[in-house]
Amino acid sequence: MTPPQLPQELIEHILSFLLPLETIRLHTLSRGMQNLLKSHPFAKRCLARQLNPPLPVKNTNPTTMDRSWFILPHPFQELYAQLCYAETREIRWRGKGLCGRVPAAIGFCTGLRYLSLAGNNGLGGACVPRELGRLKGFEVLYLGNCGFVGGIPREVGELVRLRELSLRGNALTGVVPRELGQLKECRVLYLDCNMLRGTVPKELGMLKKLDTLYLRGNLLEEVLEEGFDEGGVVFGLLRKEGFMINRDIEE
Amino acid sequence: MVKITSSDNQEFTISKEIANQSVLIKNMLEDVGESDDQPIPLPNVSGAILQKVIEYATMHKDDPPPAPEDETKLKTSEDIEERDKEFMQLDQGTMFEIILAANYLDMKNLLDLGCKTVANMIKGKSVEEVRKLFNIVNDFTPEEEEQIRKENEWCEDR
Repeated sequence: MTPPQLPQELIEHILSFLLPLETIRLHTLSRGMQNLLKSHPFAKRCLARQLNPPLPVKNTNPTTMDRSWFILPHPFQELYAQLCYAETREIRWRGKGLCGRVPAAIGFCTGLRYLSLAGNNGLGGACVPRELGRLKGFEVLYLGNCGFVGGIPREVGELVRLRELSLRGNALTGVVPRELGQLKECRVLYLDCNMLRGTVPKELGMLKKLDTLYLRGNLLEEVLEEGFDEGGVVFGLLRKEGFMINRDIEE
Repeated sequence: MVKITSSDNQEFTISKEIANQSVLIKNMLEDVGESDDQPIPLPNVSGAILQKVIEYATMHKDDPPPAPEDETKLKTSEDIEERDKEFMQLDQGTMFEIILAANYLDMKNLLDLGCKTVANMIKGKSVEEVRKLFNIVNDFTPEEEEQIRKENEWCEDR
């Protein structure tokens, strides 16, 4: 007996019982199926079977679904963030062997105060998503040693409640954005061991609360920008890092 | 008691509580009223399949109605009762016929059971085998297919 043909809607229903991650290899079935499996409605049905909200406010150990969040098609990432992380305050996934890309959908995790993805170098080769700038509640952001490339998004400067920021040990290029001078609450800033160029912008001198600053191991100019506040705490920290002002050279 | 007839004119007499598990039959019964003892024709389902469907409905006739909060509970393909697993040990053709019948008769639990079972089968199948299973025509060129496979290969075996 040859099996009867199932209508499209039933095939869809069947596939929605698979784990989201298991649907990825089926993208090669056909064009129509690829479009279906990447679609928003399918993502919604498929995810709805996996989720058991509410999820913990503090997430310290990524589940299989959390791990696949970095890999799945965009609609899955978006829905998962909205359904599962909307209430999450803290994500502490340091060195968990995560692979994929930090999704742009991270911008939907509007409850986040604390994010650590440090030491997950399987997330490398991608840029730091500028959507992070939408998460105005951020207080701590640890994204060191993830293999990120590209520039530091200016949007990071909009995270005005940030107390600690680390982007150390990536492969970041470009300049130190002036916008970082808006992080008035910042106490700890690690930008060391990247490939940043240019001068240290004078706006950093306005970070009155800073007590830890690492900029070593970049390709930055040793001479600080003209007009850098020489009376502030940042100036002292930069001096310890080996930075100079023009006058030092003239003397 | 309720009488139903299959596409090949087999007649089955079943109790009302079994008949009511099909939303389609339940609605028909409400429409025609109690007094009518005309059999209900089910022209989309063969006698052999109807037999299996009744077997399933009989097995589940004493199930408590699902609590509303169960709707949000995990409902993945792994959640199958042992007796249902046994019931679904069928050839592929019969399995698909039962899924179609459950869809037509509007029996959500049986439909989901069938679909979960097929979903579990897919896990062990190659993409080509899945195409065959659902009669899907591959309209990608080999190059395109390779390209998609490459893009996704870093998420396999995780």
